[in-house]
Amino acid sequence: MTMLPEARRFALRPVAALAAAVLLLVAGALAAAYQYQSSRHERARQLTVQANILAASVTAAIAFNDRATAQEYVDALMLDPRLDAAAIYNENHREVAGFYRPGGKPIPDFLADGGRLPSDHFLLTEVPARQGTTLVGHVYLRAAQTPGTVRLARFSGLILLTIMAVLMLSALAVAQRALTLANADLQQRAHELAGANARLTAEMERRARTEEALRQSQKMEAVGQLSGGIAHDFNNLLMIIKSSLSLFYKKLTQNEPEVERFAQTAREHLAAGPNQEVSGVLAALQGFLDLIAQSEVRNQQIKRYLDTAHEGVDKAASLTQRLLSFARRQPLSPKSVNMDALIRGIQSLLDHSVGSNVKIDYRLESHWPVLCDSNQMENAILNLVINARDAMPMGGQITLRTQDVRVDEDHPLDNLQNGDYVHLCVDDTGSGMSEEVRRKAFDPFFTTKPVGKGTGLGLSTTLGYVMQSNGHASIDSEEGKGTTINILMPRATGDITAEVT
Amino acid sequence: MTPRRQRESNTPLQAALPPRNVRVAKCVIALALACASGEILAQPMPSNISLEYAVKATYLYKLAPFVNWPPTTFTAANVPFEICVVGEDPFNDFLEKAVTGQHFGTHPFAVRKLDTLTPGTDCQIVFISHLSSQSISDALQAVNGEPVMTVTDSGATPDDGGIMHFVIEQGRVRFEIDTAAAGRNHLTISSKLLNLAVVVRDAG
Repeated sequence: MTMLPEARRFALRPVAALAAAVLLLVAGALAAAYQYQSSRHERARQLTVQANILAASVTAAIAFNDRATAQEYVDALMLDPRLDAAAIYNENHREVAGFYRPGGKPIPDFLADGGRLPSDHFLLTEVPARQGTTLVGHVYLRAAQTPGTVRLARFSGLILLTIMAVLMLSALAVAQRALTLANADLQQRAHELAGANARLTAEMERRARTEEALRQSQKMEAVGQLSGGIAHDFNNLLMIIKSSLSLFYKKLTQNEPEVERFAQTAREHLAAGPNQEVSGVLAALQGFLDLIAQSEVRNQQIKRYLDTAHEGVDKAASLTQRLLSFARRQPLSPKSVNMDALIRGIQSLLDHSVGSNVKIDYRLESHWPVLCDSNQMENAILNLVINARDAMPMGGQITLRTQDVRVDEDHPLDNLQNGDYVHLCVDDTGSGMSEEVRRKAFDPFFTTKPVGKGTGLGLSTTLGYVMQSNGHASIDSEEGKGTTINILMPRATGDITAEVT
Repeated sequence: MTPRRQRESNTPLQAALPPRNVRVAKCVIALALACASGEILAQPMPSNISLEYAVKATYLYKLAPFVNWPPTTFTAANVPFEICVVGEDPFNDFLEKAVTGQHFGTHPFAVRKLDTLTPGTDCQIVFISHLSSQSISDALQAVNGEPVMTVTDSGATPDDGGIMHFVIEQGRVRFEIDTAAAGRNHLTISSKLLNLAVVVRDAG
């Protein structure tokens, strides 16, 4: 479990609590020591007072050696159980009276022969017995050792208080520790939740994108099917119209030579001999001939109209062809083709198409054959090059590049299946396109060219063709820096019946 | 915890000891002189003096602190405290030796021997044992009204007793005190001393 800084700050608290407990114990011990010391001092003072009282009472008894009286005073004093022993000595260090409890020892006259009181014995006291200024003797008193129980009782309050405080601190520390652990656990869970939430959000975004892409592809599919179906039928109808027009034209021109020959004959006859009888007929014939001539003029006009209709039909057919191509329904005749050879074959066409102020740089380095319809491939390349040219109205350079590419686990590319591809790349130094434009670039009828200049079908038909050939197309573009169109065609497998080598 | 007496005594222990004149008198202390002798023997003692007088001599100078002397008693701080032995001297120089080096406050003890007691005698304590040239009552009369502590020996009749009068009781040297006589001589006797007295007379 990783300790968060917050948790680590709380983790210090048990140590602080321990320190506080130790301090408390020390304070308790100090207080106990002080109490012990002060009680000892108090006891010593009491002892001195008692000794003074005894000394004052027994001076006469000492002076006049009245042992009985002195002993009575001593006995009276010894009713106090806190006293252990007493002794009275006269000024000549002779004992006058004394007392000690069973098991104890009598008090010797420490001051005899210049002796001194043992300094370490706090329970023992000595006072001189004086009558006025005259020293008559010495009184000794020894306090009993306070029984352990009494001493314990004296300190029990303090001990209890200290123990309680320490216990409380310990409980607090334990609670704190538990709280810290719980807190850390909670933070951990919050962390995990945040992670899960982030993953969910990412997943949702990805899903939204996928749905968007799916919708787009479904839309394209629908448009493709619709336009494909219409184009197909329309194409058939156009074929009917076209063939009818052709037949019509044929018929129109077929009649002419006969009429011409007849008219010619008639003219020869007219020229051959003037015949009065016939001249009337001839005049009529002349009229007829003029009529024919007029009809010929009209025929010429009809032919012109027919030609125009023909042209229109051809254009319509081309359009339907491109629609079919976008709908991936165009009839293809795929063959194994070497891309480099194919491009070299149309090199002059391409150079001618882009004009003089655009230069094409060919970097053809592919070797693998691809399976595709070569005509459509040529169309597609031409299309791309023209698009690139249109993106550079002030001139520039187009780079046409081919190379062999292997896609596998170590080198994944977009969402292509693993395998060998030939990569065709058309690079321009033109105006580039925005992200929005880039996304819509493959849509049919989308164009950035002025109305009437572009059909919006160029890139979409290219994509349709590439997809139909199991290839892949994509656009890299940056506004102001140019555009790169990538087309990947799968490598042809099996026997290579190379049409162009 | 029952206190055990260090020494046997049949006197019941009482919390309030005084007044106990009579009770003290009844106290039976068998050791009496024997014990006293133990103490006295510690000092150089002439062989020609009885234990009884050795004790009495000691009592004479130990008496001094238990008497409240009027302020006029001493004229100076270093004047001696005079103990006068009137008449026959039973101590045979023992008293002089005993008081040597002893002081009452700032006053060294001094022993003076007198044949007769006359008024104006500058004595603080007067001991009368046996008079030949004067009756005891005359002698006492001579210092009546003066701050003199008169002590009479046990040989005299109690009627002729001074302020303190030695008696021998059960082999021990004890004393009676006449507080009235003390009062006449402007002296106050310490109650502690009175406690030890066999009899205390306060009138007559």
